[in-house]
Amino acid sequence: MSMITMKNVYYQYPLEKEQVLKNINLSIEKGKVYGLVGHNDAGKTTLCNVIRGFIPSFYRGKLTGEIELDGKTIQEYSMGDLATRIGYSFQNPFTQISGVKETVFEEIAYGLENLGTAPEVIGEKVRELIAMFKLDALQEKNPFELSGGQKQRVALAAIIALDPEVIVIDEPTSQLDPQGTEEIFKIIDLMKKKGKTIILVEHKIDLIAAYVDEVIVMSQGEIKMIGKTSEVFTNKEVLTYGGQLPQVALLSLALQNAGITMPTIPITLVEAQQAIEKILSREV
Amino acid sequence: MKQGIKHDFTLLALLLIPVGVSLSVVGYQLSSILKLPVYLDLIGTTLVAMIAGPWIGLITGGLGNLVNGMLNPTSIPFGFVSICVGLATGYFSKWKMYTNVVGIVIAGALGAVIAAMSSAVVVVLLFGGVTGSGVDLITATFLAAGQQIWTSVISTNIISGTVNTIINMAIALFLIKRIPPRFLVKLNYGWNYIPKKLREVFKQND
Amino acid sequence: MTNAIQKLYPSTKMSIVLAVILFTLMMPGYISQYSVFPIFIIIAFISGVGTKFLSAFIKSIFVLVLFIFVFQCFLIPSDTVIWSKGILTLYKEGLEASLLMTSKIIAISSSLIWFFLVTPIKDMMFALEKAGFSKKFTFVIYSTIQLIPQMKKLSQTILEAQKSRGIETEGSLMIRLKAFLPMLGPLVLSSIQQTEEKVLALEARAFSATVRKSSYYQMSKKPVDYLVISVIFIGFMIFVWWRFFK
Repeated sequence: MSMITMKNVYYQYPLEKEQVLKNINLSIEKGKVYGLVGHNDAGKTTLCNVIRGFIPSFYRGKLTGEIELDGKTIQEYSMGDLATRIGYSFQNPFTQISGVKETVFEEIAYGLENLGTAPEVIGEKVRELIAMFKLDALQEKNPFELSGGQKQRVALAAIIALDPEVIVIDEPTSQLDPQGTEEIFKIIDLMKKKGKTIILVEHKIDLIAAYVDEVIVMSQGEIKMIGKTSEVFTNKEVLTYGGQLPQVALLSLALQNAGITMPTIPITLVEAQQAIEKILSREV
Repeated sequence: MKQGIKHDFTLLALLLIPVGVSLSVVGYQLSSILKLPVYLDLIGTTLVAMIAGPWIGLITGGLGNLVNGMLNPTSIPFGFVSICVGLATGYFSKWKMYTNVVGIVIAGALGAVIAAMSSAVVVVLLFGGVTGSGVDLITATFLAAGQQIWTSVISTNIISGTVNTIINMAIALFLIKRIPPRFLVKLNYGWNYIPKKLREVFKQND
Repeated sequence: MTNAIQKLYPSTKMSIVLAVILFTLMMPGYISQYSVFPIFIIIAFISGVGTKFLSAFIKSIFVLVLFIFVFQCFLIPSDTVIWSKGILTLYKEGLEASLLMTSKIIAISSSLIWFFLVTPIKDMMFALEKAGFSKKFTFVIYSTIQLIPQMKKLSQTILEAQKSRGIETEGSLMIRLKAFLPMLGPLVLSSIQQTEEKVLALEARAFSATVRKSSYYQMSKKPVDYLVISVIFIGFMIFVWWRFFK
């Protein structure tokens, strides 16, 4: 079932001469995880902003084409409605702290307060999220005093508190260390298991290969490739759009060129291990 | 563009208020650390008033004094001065005075007079001509020379405050020139500070 | 925060401040106004903020009051001379004016200093929202109060960073002036541009939802609040009757 559909979407920022999104046609299926990749000004964040309705309401500029969420055009939703439909987590952990809460617990509760949720319900939900995100040790801390990775986790928890069907996550790990990154991906995996539709912008290609169902490759404002992770990430065409392939896929493709045939091109370490074991057993 | 008080209170403009207040506090703090002869404690109010208009400027000024007043209540009445400066700067910006040299000079002079007058009202009526700081010596000299209290305080304010107000406005303008146009375009009063070339691009796109 | 006075509902404490302000303005003379100050010292100590109260008072009000006396008594000439020696002349009208003025300043300021010391911001914002103020209003005040210390810390960091990069912060006026912009500049530009992301982050937290905001944090007026408000109200009514109708 299609959750979000975009037809012939074009967009131009108010002060720029060029369009940043061109001829976007996309269908986001319910319950799948999408990885959005491409080089820095490919238009990934802009696309996310269009999906969330921040474009054109906040950024202004010229948007054409159709964008539908759950069968209704995005313009039919109010800003408040969209917050409960599409969760949005941003790149910068620092700007996501509300600045009006004195503890992590209250910070996570803030969105629910804005929706007028009853205090007892808020308490229950936030406690649940704190357990899920393993934030117990932090819940009484001032959000300003957290590290970048902790802030990012709290921000993500605060978004998930609103229980949106779709979650857009824009480069959550760009300012995080490996441990913080791992924590974030654990949460993404958890959300996937809960049946959420997730759109993830991320540069760490090996992580995308391991976690997402479908990959969307963008370049110069256009969607160049879209398909199953195993298909896109074994196709060298990605490289021509300034994208990357997982290390193991590159290695396997090189081996194949050298005459060593692989049963399948692996995209994760586990798959690579299996493939290599197969080759070895064949040769013996 | 539509005008009107409600129209000025976008979420982006509202978020500039805390930033403006904090910048004024930090401006004051930095000028004391560097032992500058001027106090850059209006920097946030003027900057925010220029790009977000008179009403946001007014609130930024007033709130700054209110927050300071939590520890030092005598700061609260001086909120009247900040409110006047914020409001005036916002209107000067609305009237496009900061886009040309003549306008800037007039805005600086008017701003200085407004600050001096409004401050005199508070100082004379509530505090008997005193601010509790070093400039009181100048007022004392005027008084000792036989001047009236109002003339003394206004003269002191003009002597000590004019340079201050003008430097605050000048630095605010200097900093606004460095704010990216894509940010300014989202503010109701940012338009005049966007380079002309880009404004034409905008008009074409529209 | 275990102190009973600190736990009072914010509007209860505010009604004490309002009563003090009205009393101070309506009451002739200065003796009763001056007596407000020692009463607040006692209240501040009972509230557990005595030292903070005195230190804030001395830092903010003391010098001002001293200057007012000097100005009004010695520098503004009037008819009646009380005392004179050399160039110094003490005028009676000036002395009276400064007593009237400073007594009011001291009384009102001490009630306000006390109020802000014993009322947590969180309580104040809760009470304002409960009283029907919009969440935009409380948001702006609350985030301002929270942002100021953060920005102060940040400017300290920038100051140290610039120093270690070799920017001189001491020396002639020109050198110090030149040091100012590279310090304030990055702070201004980053903080202003961050507001843009902050708007979206708030929208993502349903800030623009049109329903009335709720609060996880709860506090309510207790019997002691009603008692205090009633005492203040009756006391004030008796004062008004005594002052104007007797």
